Amino acid sequence: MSKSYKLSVFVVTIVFSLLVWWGMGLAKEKPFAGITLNILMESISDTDVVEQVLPEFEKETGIKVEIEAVEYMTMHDKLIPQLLAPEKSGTYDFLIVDNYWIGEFVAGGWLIPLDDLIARTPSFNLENYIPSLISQFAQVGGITYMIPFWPYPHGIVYRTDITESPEFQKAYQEQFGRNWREPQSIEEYAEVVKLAGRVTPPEVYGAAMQAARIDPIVMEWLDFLFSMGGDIYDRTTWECIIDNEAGVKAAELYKNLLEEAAQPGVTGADFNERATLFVQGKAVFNIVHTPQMIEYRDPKISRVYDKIRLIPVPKSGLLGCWLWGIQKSSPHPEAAWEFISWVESREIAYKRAMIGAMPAQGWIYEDPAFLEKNPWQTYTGKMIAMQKSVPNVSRSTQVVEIIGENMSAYVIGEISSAREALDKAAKDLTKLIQGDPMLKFLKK
Amino acid sequence: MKVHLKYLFIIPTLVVLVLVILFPLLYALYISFHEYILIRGIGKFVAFNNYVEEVFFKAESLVSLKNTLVYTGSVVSLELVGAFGLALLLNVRDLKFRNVYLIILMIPVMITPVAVGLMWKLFLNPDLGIVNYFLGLFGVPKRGWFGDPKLAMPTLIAVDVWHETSLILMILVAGLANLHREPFEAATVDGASSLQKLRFITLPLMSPVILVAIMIRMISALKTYDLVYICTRGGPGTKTETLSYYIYKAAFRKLDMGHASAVAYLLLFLILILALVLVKILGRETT
Amino acid sequence: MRVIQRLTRKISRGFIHIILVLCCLGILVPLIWVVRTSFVYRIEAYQIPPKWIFTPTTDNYLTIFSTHPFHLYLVNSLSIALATTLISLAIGSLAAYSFARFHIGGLWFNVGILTTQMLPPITLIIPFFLMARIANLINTRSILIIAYLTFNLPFVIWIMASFFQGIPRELEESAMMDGCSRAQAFLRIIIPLSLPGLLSAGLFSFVLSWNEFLFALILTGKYSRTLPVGIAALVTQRGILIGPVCAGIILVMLPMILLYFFTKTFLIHGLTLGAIK
Repeated sequence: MSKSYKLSVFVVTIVFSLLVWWGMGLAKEKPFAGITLNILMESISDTDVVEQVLPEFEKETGIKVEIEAVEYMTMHDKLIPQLLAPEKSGTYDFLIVDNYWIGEFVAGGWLIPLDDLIARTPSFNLENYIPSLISQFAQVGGITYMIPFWPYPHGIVYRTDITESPEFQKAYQEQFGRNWREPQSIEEYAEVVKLAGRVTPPEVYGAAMQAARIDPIVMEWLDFLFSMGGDIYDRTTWECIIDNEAGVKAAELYKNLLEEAAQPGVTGADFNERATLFVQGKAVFNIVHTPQMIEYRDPKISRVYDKIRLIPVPKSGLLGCWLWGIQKSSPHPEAAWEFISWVESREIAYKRAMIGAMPAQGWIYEDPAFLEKNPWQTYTGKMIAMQKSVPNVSRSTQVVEIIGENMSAYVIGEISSAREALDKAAKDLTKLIQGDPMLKFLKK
Repeated sequence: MKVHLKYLFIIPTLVVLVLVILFPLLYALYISFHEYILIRGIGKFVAFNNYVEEVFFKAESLVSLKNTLVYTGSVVSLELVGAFGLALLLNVRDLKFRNVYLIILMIPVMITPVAVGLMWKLFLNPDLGIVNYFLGLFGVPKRGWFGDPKLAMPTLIAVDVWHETSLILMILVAGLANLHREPFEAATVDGASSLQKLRFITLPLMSPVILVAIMIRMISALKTYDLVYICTRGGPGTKTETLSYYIYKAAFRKLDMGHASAVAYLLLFLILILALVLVKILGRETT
Repeated sequence: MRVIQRLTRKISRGFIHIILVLCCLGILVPLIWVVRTSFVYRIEAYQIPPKWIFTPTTDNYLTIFSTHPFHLYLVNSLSIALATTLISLAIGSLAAYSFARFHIGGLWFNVGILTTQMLPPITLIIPFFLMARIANLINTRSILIIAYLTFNLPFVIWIMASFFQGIPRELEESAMMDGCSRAQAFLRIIIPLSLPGLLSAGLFSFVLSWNEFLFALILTGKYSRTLPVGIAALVTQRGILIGPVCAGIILVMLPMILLYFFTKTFLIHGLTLGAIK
């Protein structure tokens, strides 16, 4: 070989190696280093878990994430002015959104579609998630606006020590003519709750319930409604069917249960009061959103941590979900996506689940290590698959308000009949979705 | 050009108020004449439609009005009478421990309403609260307090009285302490009884102070929102829904800013009328 | 006769003390329970019948100084309230003097400035937020100082005006005849005489700023958060963190009580509102 040939090979190799070295350095370069992202989140255990993985993210990308945690109700109020701010001028870079605000935020055009970003990020895959979470919440009209963060199906939690006690077993046998079994329908649940109330001493109630105005009563009652086959709207014709037979029966059943088996002052009890009553051991049954099991099983908070069991609400129930989203007024949407795709990558999502979060990715629910740590999660996948949510119409928050106001008025007797209360609600609900632009995007 | 002092002195205030609050006030007024659902942007001009709808076509706004009047009336009168009584007691000559009493009685108003609400929700929890427990020791059955439709409003009023009486007390104690001794001494010489002194000397001399106290308390009571938000969210049913809370719902839950602003301005007119009436009745000596 | 008089006096005094003591107990007993709750775990906070003998824990206080930085909120609330109070006293006294001595604007001015306070803050928050956005003042303490200034000014002016009206005009007039300008008379004579009034209006303004919730919620961020918002944030979806809430309440009260001890002499001797003098 000639000298010049060897030289050229040598030079090309050097240049090529330099290029490769430089290219690798580029890949490791942190394009967003030095940016601080701000996010508003709810003060709840899942947020704490995210806080715990933040230092790792900062090490990897140089982006600092500041989480501002507020309580649930005030979060919506704080978000509204933020969303009205013009493009890129908000104070938060991304958000978490409760599922029944989705309709509102999408209709207002406040969220950025994420499909392009997802396509550009090979490490991120929507297929990791439980399908119904994607179809019901994350995507509207085929466009992905949000990424599931933590779902909250509803279930029934009850005291195994009481149901296994001889007095209860005997009374159950007498009333139902069979051995104790978990209720297979919501009507059966109601009967069992009333029985439990009679069997236990007077300071222990059949069920702890939450009939306080708006959110508490709606979140609890919708479980009854859905379980009995009713719904707010027919999901294909969008006719309001809340006042059909199933609806009226569900309302009457609920009120009856409040009067016969729930704690005094229940019409003012919210999530916190209902849960506290149960963890203090003063109720046999209650309907919960499943992440509450984390607190229910904490000996520092709960007296009954080792004597409870979670089962699905029979037939169907209410499903909720919190999701990540990036709003139009975000100053750093791309950096925000960097974080979302990282925190929801398989590795980090699994890590969070093992620390104690509620995963949205289906495969985690089949992981043996996860199930061993959280045996109560065995039904979660099934619950999510069979439950329904508040529909994503553009005034979805108002849907919850209307149902809450009328149900609250009914249960305290301001409106005397269930039919009247639900008819009133139906009138307002029908007017609410007239001409709603969201309807053409929503499919069941 | 020499500007008279009186104009000079008023300029900073006017600058602050005009720059900061005038725009929001006018914006709210402007909105009240339009249809405005937050997610749709400012809609068409509808003149007084929003106002008329709220007054004549919605039962709920009238219920809120009634609740607001009941709440404000009770709260202002109870706190005024209570504070006045306490102020008189504290004003007795050479009362031992007066300063100690005063400091303790002033504490409640220093706690933010959010904390006060949370505190009383803890005490009044029907099953897990200390109040029902104590009453139970005397055989009184458990009450629902904030959860009982019949008791919710009285309970809310009671909590407010616990919280705000100190504010009025502060103003009235100041007023009493500033009264001159002579009229009282002269009256004693003339043989007047304590009751007569109260009626013919104390009350008339105190009326400007009482006016200030009522005015301040009335305006803030009519705007009460924090306490309702924390304790009952307007429930059960609509039992504790005040106008201010109703407006909050319309604005942030219904996202209907048009109607919310209309009701807000209606509330403003209500307050204005009450204020003018108050000034006419009690304020002869102030301006 | 004298004996009976003295006896009646003693009995009525006794009565007065009883009533006052009962009222004070009505305030102290709930607060003692708050203190108690701040030292227990959540499981015991809600325990009925209550556990009278318990092992206290400082967990709640640790929480409010670590994950929920109440010391930060305290500093924010304190600085905002102090700044608002000082500025509103300064500006407000000037305007009040103008009104008291010259009746500038008459009844319209007097009631008019109060009218700015008659609209519920909820309707003002969105335009206010948009304005603050343009001025780039969201998540700062300054925006709250400005907001609270507008809330407090009308009341401060009202209180100070009735104060000034109680001071006889002759005082300034004689000073002016001796060669002072009106402004000097204002500064050197009127203000010192109105110190107690300044204090009561100041206290009023301070309390209002200290307790305000809605504007603080919407306009502050993680580092500019104030105490009321901090306490509300303890209401979580995992239940109300009642222990830290009670710890927070004690913390909220403490500066106010200390403030009282410092201004006690002024307060007790002369909380006056001038109009009666």
